[in-house]
Amino acid sequence: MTDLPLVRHERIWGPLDFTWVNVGLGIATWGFLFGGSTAAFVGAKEGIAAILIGNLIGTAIVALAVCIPPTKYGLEQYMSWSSAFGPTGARAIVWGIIALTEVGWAVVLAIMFGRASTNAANSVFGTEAGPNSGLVVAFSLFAIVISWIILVRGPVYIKWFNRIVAPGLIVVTVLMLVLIFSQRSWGDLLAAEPVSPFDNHLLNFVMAVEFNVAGGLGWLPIIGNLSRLATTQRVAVWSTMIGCCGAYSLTCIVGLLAALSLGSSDPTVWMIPLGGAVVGVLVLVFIALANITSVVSIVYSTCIALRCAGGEAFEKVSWTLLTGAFFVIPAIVVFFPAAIYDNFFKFVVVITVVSAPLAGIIFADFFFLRRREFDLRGFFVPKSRSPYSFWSGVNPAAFVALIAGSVVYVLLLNPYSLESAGLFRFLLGASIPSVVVGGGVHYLLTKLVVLPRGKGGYVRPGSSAHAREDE
Amino acid sequence: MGKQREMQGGGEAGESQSFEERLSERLSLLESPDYSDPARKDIPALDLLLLTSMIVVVSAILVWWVV
Repeated sequence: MTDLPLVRHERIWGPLDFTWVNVGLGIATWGFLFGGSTAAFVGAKEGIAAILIGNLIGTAIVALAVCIPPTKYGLEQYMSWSSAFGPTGARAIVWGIIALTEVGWAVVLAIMFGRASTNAANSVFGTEAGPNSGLVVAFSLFAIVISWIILVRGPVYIKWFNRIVAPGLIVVTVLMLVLIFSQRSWGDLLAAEPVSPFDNHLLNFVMAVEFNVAGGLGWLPIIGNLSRLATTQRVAVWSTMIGCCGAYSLTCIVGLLAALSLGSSDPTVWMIPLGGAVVGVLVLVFIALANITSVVSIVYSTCIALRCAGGEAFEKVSWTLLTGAFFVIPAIVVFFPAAIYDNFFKFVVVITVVSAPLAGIIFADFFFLRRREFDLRGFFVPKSRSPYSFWSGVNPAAFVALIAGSVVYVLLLNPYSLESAGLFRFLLGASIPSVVVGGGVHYLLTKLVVLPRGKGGYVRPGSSAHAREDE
Repeated sequence: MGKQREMQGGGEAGESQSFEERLSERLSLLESPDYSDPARKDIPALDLLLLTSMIVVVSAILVWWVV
């Protein structure tokens, strides 16, 4: 089913179900860490503003660029990217960027599950297992196994799992917020200083916004294949905004306020002292489940992409084996939790260097160059007859645009040292300019180079020009 | 990508032919003038305007709140 374009009855997620899927995806502990990272630069007021602004912008870009094409045509997300990069080019992106990125995210989430569970066990049983102990590794592996079991059962079970977990996670997040305010007044929170800000106030705020735009763009690799199962484009976009922006922002804000007031953005550290043994453990269990739902959604989307991109060799591989193979690297890496967890911030920013221009290219291609219309059959015929074949399956113009956007990002913000150019604070960060440059360069190169050479099928299906191309 | 195969009228045996038949039927259905799917309807311009406006207005309010 996953290789074929979906038909109407195969779209299983209406507005309520897809919203719950996105809420379950959005309420994950990495949101608390994003909020904690925001607290490094700004206080409560600026932090809340930066979180909401950044996630609104980042998630909206992803919702439009990445959700709509798969929803409209029922296409696998990365297959739809063939329209911009060519089929071979899209495959290169899947294997070279997306797969490695999602393996990294699976590792991060599994380790977070491990540390949350270990802290809960320490509190309940009086153990003193450290953040990098064997207990953390064991719990991380447990998270991987549970995620695999749920994945094997397919998207229908993901739907039911989220129907149970998602409402509970909203209650838990609100409860966490209540507990924070039970210990600190709003005045106390407003007075709390950021952890390690720059000297320049504007730079701090823009940096905080940039982190959260990066957070919104982080949905790019996974949300498209989930949206494919949505009943309408309106459902896809607004459910994504509600869950991946709204619910996710709430978790970021909780993390921000926790980091500012209690010295840590990790709820496993303070939840039990605040809520008591029973409530605290129950909350931690739900937080751990939040990570499971996120891992399941991420790996589901990625494995569909790998199957489609893998060619005939992967057609014969069972879904059970494919998803199991995906978890091999995470199962090894979780034995070194500090290596990943302590470099989480760098991992996120490095991803954004590529995901920002990628989003711009996909958006420009579908909305401005294709005018929201695909030649559906063109994705399934041989390259020799496909309008999306470009040059031997690759569109060099799109890769030039990708590089251009990535260079702009790095020039504006060094992802390792966090040194920023002077223009960084006036261009609203690095992600937005990178999106614009990526999309703009792709548009210009297509108009000036690709289209005049008759490549890429940049004519409206059914037009006389399109008919001539088919002859 | 991985599923671009030559559309043949018949003759191949096994899973390859089965997939080709299924794909051919699926595409014929999707391209049929009688096929109806709410997902094909483009998201209204009003939704795009609402989304953009929401971002601009909320951002402006938040910046004003901070300043």
